[in-house]
Amino acid sequence: MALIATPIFVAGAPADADAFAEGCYKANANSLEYMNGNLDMNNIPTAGVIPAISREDIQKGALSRSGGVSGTANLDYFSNWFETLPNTTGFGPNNDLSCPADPAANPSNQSKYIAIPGAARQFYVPYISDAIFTWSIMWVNDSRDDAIFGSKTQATHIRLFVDGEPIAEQTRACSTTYGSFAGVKLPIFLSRARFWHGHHAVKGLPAGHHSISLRILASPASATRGLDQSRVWARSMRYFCFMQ
Amino acid sequence: MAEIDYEVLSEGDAVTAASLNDRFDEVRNGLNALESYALAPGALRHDHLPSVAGILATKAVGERFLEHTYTGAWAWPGTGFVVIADASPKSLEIVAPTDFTAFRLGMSEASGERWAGVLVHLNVHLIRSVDVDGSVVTLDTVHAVVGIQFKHGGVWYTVNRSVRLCEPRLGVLPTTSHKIYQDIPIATMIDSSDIVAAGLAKDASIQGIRGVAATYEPNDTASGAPTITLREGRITALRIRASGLTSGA
Repeated sequence: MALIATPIFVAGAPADADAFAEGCYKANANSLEYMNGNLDMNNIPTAGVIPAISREDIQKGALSRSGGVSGTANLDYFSNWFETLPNTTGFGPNNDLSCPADPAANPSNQSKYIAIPGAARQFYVPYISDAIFTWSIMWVNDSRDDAIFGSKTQATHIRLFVDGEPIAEQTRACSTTYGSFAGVKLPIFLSRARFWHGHHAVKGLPAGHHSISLRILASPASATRGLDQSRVWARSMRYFCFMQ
Repeated sequence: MAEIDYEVLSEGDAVTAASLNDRFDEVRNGLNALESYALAPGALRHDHLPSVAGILATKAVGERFLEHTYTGAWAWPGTGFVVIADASPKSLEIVAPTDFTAFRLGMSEASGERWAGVLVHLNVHLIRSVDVDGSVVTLDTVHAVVGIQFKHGGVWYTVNRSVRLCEPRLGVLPTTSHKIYQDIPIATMIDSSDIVAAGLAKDASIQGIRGVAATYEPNDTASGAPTITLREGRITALRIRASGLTSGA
């Protein structure tokens, strides 16, 4: 909006009723009608560059919004929960989700991912905004790679989805965390766990409802099994939206 | 100033152009220059206000598992750093005027804007570390080093507190085929103190922000620099306004 410009009466000239009425009521015409909720920063004087408004004048959430979700539980995902993917181009033996195959590159695979509680959030913003998402997650995978089981490393992928769409580079895989160290053998060796403290940014997120989620996809169960279980710890998923 | 004081036309006063203009001008001037006490608490919402943030800039590397390697020998605080970039080619380098307009912190721009700082997020996926003789490193040998730099006058300056060192964990990496599975995250706010700490004038402009990587080998047993391999990464920079919101946005 711009500043208000009221009609000027000219001495000696007949008053123009139409111009006077528009000066009082016409919308979007620098009229006094602006006072009906349309006064803005242009109507607030500045001392230098510091305007005469304070934090108390601004509604909560008017300039930015944020929120998050987290969890503390062990989240176990077993291989028989996952279907054999319809498109396994580039995958390893036995249709494993081995690195570096990128399962979400095939659109028919995207629906096979499962959203992780504690790392998935829906939110609303009333304005177009620039958004930053941050998360912290850890996971392990009990597939083996040793003399007994042979090379049966099968990956567990976790990927970021924004509004239901996978993000190209926001994916990480964990191929095995089976560990043998100092005579101790553990299927879930935390020192080999996969940690992902990531962030993503979206410019011009439209007003409305949105969703962000980390989703998991593990190799399905097979006769020549390698992976039985993936365990996830979803520590946080946060969003920060700044009005554009 | 700006307090509306409407003088009522009394019986017998002449109704002239001047008497009407004076009264409408009083209302107009009052609405065009509101005082803070004219605002009810919480009166302003997003429809009335400019953004509190500047244009967000973000870049990513390593899509589709594209790996990239670094061999620079790091020394405190910023020696040996190289910009993180893959062969696609994409890099974690945000520069003016391509990605944003250069700006100054804490100072008034010609547009009336004042910026308090730049919020920077960086994270990058460390795949592996390999010593100069080809052996995969174990504990307490090769460190991956990642940091954030800003640019002024064609020179990149390291934000010292952003530097992170990451070493392989216990029991990791029996062979080169195994990955480190480690993301290195950094989040910081670059403010005027960083400009001064870099030896620049307080009003020096920021012309770029980037993520950089190098290697560090505290217990060097082989001559030459080791190599670290990185893959997916992203950097995001967002300017945050100083306390003054202005109509110059």
